[in-house]
Amino acid sequence: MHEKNNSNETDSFVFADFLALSVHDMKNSLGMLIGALESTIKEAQGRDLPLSARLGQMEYEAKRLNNNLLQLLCIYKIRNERYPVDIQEHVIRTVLEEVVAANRPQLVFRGIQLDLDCPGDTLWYFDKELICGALNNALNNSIQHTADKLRLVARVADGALILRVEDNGGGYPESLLQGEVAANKGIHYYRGSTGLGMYFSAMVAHLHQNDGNIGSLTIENGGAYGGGCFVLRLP
Amino acid sequence: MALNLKDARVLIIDDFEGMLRMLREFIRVAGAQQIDTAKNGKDAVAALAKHKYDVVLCDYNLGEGKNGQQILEEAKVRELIGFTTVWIMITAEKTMDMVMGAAEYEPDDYLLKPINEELLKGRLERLLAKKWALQDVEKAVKRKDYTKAIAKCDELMKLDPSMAQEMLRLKARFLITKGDFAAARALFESLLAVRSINWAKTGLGKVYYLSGEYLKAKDILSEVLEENSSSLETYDWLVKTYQALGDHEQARDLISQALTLSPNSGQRQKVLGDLANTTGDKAGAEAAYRKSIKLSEHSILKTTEPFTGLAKLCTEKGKADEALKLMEDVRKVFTDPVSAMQASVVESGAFQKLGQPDKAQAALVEAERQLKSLGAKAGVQDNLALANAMLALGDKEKAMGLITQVVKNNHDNNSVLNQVDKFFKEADLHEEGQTLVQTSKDEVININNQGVRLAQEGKLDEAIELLRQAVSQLPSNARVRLNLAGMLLKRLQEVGKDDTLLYEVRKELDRANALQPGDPKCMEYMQAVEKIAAI
Repeated sequence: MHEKNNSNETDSFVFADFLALSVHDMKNSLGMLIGALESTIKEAQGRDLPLSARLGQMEYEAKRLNNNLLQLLCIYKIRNERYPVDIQEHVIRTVLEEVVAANRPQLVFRGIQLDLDCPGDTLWYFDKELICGALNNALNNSIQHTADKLRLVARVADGALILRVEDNGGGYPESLLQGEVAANKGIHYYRGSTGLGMYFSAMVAHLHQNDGNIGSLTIENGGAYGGGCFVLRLP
Repeated sequence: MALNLKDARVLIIDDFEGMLRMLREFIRVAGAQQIDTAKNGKDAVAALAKHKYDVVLCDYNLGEGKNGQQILEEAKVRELIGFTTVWIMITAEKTMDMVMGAAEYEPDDYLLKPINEELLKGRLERLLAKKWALQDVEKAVKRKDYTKAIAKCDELMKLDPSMAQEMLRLKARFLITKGDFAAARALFESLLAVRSINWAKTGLGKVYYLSGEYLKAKDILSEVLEENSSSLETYDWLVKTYQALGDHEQARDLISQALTLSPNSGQRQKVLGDLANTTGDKAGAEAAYRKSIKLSEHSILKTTEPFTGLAKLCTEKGKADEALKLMEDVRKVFTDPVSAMQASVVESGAFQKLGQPDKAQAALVEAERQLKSLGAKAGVQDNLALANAMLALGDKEKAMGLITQVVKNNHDNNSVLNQVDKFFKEADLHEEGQTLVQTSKDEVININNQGVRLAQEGKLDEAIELLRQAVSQLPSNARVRLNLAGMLLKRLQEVGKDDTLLYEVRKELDRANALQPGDPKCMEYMQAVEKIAAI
């Protein structure tokens, strides 16, 4: 009986590692795919509208896949204490500009106006890759649900950095607006997604701690444009 | 040095044709006109040797052969790239190695896939601008003028507060290199008073270690690990700390953990091999040395240590033939005299085990000859290994002579004297050894005292001459060099600014600091010298 249990454990361990390795490999392919699509979209721009539209949709889906894989890989590594959490001081604006740059092709393709509202030289402490992962997820989500406007806001207040992604879409359904998103709540289906992104983002927020304060993620409706708001608070 | 992509010569290194083409297109659209590509480590190194590049985009994972980090290391060691070259490492996911401060040879930045044109262009422009801003700092570093480098960091910080974090980090690094541990410590402490920052904590731990405050180092470095926010550098310093505290079991556990997080380091596998060996796990040591050799195969930073470590284990196990085979490899791969000497020492032991005393003796004679030609370049370990081989072959007199020289070169270096003490204990020569150490120490102290007396009597030139001779006989003795520097400084204060004297005193202080970093006397002299130089 014991032996059997042991071999099961070993199997599942190997499988988990195998899964993580495959995810890594898939990410590589997706990176290529996304790059190729973005270049093609650029070439096709203004010439072949139906083709551009199809390519744009493809790029969106590839991005979504990439974000999902990145999140799965990070969650796996964080849970196994293998993720190199690296909380450093960063110029917030520079990081946000890179997040916008990464999402620019979709914004242009869908004609979405994005306002970046962030002071030029403010610094804050966070793990750049994790926060970019959470923001990319939020942007990818908002791009799908907004009418035509997005706003990325950063403010430092009361010893914390507040990062907001706001849109002018229909907002989150009432049932989801329960204040802080807990990382351990389990998976919910909403806005047509598995909830992986929210789970990941809440986990990322919790990894940011300072002086006894713990980071948090909340979703709400309203903001400057009256749509959905994704709010990260990092002490 | 290129400030714009338009004027930059760019090299892209990726084993995947599709990716290579895509990156090339991004770079071209971003404005670069001179773009070269390479598909593997060998081609990349050839390209780097042929042209001076302003920008290198390098994929970390390149399949067979060198990886991206190994190319970077080779480019830096062989000075194929200058300090103005922007090196970006491209990876698919974040790894432990990317936590800055870990690797000795760091790229300027990491870029995670997927990459698009706007992202790459923005990042490159920012890095080129940063290189431009940092050029005075880097120039000072190249001249080893750390005081100037630190002043430049302060200037830049004032000009652009967003660079503060990076400048503080550089400043701390320079202070440690300079050996000014008190100032480095004050800097880290002032940062930590505001917020817990992992690199500053690790830095403080490093300073504690370097100042010999091992318990404090252990506490703060363990704290960083518990906060689950550490770099590989944290592990490396804590491993060293446990070693210094004599807790080899803990050191071994930690280096194993670091290897789980970042399995590709040949250097850490070697440390694991040493620690497994010390803790009696011969099989573990053998496995680690073998891994280390394999991982370092394509690295310019590879050393003979895992080879000699493994060969000694083989000899112990009665597989002296394999030990000899390994030393053959060493001679093929490493062509420097230190390696040749180390190989001869191991061969001597292996031949003896095989029952071939003549060959063992010949190897020993060869090792001796090589050691003589090496002079100060041979390390304490090399000397002790050779002395050990001499004892094994029954040549006690020679062994004692060799150790006398080691003691004289390190007469006030406790870590070395402890190693010597351990050596004598293991060789069952403890009492005799203690006498030897005392006599040798006294001899050096006498020379120093004589120098001081001469100087006091106003015979400064004679004192300088005496110590110059002592330095040439004991090239690895930091104290003698410092005393010479002190005399030279006195002379300098008498005659005023004199370039020849300035050069000599700086050289002596540099060497002394390299031999025994952070000596307060050395710091004091350095400041006095810079004061005179500034006139």
